[in-house]
Amino acid sequence: MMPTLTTANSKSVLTGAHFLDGDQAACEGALAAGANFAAGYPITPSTEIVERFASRIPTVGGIFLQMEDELASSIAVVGAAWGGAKVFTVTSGPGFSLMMEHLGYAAMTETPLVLVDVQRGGPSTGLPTLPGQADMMQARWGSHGDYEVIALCPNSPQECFDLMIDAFNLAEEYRTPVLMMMDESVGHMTEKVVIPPAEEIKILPRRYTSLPPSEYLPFRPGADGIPEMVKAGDGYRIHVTGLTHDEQGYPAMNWQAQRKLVGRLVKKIRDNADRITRWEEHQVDDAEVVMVAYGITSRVAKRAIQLARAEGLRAGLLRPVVVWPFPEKRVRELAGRVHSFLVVEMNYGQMFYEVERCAGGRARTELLGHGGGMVHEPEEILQALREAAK
Amino acid sequence: MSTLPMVNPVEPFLRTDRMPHIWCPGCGIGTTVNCFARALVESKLPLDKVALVSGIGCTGRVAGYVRLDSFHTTHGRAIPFATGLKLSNPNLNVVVYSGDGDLIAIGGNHFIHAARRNVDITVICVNNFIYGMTGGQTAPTTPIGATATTSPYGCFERPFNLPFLAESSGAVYVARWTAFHVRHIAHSMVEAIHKKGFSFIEILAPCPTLYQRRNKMGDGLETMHFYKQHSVIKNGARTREVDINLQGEIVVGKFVDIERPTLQQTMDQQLRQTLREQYAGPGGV
Amino acid sequence: MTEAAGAPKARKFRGEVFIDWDRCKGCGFCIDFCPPKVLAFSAEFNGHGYHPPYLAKEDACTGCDLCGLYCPDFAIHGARVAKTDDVMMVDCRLLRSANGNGHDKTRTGKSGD
Repeated sequence: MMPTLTTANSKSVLTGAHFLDGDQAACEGALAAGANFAAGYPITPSTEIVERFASRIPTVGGIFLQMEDELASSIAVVGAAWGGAKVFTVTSGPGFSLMMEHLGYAAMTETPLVLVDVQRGGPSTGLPTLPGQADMMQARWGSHGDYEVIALCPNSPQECFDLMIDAFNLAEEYRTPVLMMMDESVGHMTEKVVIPPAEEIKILPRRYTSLPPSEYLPFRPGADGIPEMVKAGDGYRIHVTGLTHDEQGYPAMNWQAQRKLVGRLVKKIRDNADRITRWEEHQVDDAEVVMVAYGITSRVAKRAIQLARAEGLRAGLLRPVVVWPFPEKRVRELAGRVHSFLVVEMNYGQMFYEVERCAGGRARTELLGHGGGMVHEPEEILQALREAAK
Repeated sequence: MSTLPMVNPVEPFLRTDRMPHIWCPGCGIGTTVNCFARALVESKLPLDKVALVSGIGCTGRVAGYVRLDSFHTTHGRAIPFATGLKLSNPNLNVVVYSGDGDLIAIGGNHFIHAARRNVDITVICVNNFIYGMTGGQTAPTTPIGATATTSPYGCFERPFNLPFLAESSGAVYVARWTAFHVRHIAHSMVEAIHKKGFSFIEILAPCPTLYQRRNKMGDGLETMHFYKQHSVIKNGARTREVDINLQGEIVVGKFVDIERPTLQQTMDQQLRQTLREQYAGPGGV
Repeated sequence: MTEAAGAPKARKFRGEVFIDWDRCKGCGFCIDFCPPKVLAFSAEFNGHGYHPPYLAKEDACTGCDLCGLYCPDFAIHGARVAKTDDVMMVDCRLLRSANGNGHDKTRTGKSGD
């Protein structure tokens, strides 16, 4: 059963109008959501998030620990979550790759946590101080095995604040790790961020069980496919393992247990995809070409709509806010009536494949992608729109 | 008629619904778990507040057999998991129980940093000189010349001296025993569990199926006799001098038992000193 | 209670071992490390093909439980029992429910039970 929403703790909420960059706003979002434990490792352009948290959390109540690497950071937060904390970690491309094993471990053990990836130019060391959007597919498929993720994609410092709160709430609701896929532009751009009073911020508490230890099974799902949680030290004597396990949490090395468990883990997100996914639309209703863009690129795309419309080209924008699960249904719907899709992203084609798949051949899907390092120019998007409209 | 002690005193500590366990005949891991159960009784700790964290490997399976809040984590990462667990819930008594490969090879970096920070956990390292679960590969403790599947012509790498590594990284309690030294193991475990700070116990144990067999050291029992004959107790020995020499003597004992503030204490002290009344504390549950 | 000078003190307790027949993997630790050497391999096999131990020298067991401490399989433990307790009379089904582990045979340490 879902616990009732509570409100944020005013001690952690920096109510007011501020001038913050995306990284700083993300940190404030975590604090407002009630995060009280973070572990991280310095990596540009994400470091400022935890630098600010290290500075703020001791006056709010909680801990930040810089660990020796991303492997330690990503598992320390899982340990802290099982101790009862609300947790997050941050990184960028190379660290994101290192954290993949533990993303899978968190998914397998159904541990709520938030993992922020402030994307930069890649692959490998790439362009540490410049933007990229080339980790989007890695966000979905980066860890081994079958699992589903929830990933959010802010396009402004304000959204960095707002979506962090949503990310924590989704993590608690679905007992799963949730990703915040920022990019360096959004992370390092400074804009007005309005932080409301604590009583206006809705927080979903952890879904702790009220059953006594004799009746509780740590991985027995409720009607919604999600088990209730406990924390260490409360007398439940739980066993948690990354091995395929039964409802008691005991390793179960057989195909029946595998399909039952992994099937449920996948289903709990897929069956709720329509409730979880979220997108924004700009002038889509009469559009002949619909752009799909996210993060910083979506802001340039909005400018491109203005330029296009000025010359009579009916362009629109579908901006996924929750990128995974992808807003498939809406793209399928639009494919039935638009002339074409234009996917604009700072990579050589990632979300493009999702759009093309959902379009199903009923609308042409074009890609305007590049290696990142700098955002698209509105004029180059306009040129691509003209091509896509043909 | 009096009540007969029919039930094995270890039973309440075990997930008896998962017995028998997977360890081979003559494997030393089960022996160390017996010692651990006795240590928990002697320590008089409330068992609801003891959490056990392990990694991957044969010793890593200990987590699945003890009736405590137990966490079977990823390979090499039991220690940082335990760090997060302990910091978020300081009332827990957190024990890491894993093998030499898991803790010192892939987990080596985490090992030295947790010792450096003096995280208040107990680390029990069962050292069987091999990677057992995966079929008998070379470990960072495998002696020079010993055979393993990934050094079929004999290992050519100098092995770690674990007590030395632990002490030089900052551990406040360091002991080594072999699986033969059951009473000493149990006693050390009690001390380590109660000790504030990073406590480390290395326990040499036979892997009869892989290490002992491939290196013609007999079965588990013969290896236990080998430990008995070749080990010498030298409490307080200098850890830099306790390299294991399987031709010579195996130095066992309690080597280090010092006082140093724990990570929680140094963190708390520093923040309190700098922030004074603004410091809101670690916000534990 | 006074005793004649020079006579050995009468022991009120004796040692007994309790063996979980099917858990044993025949490693031999208990047999070799028992201080008074009261255990030996039984001639019978258990369900897994191992020879569990039995109490070969009943009167010499002190109940020190060193066998239990060594056993890697949690298959044996020793205890001091009052000399009046007749362990042989205990029903095996009671032993199974006391242990809670559902094993068929929990021996009292005598071969040929």
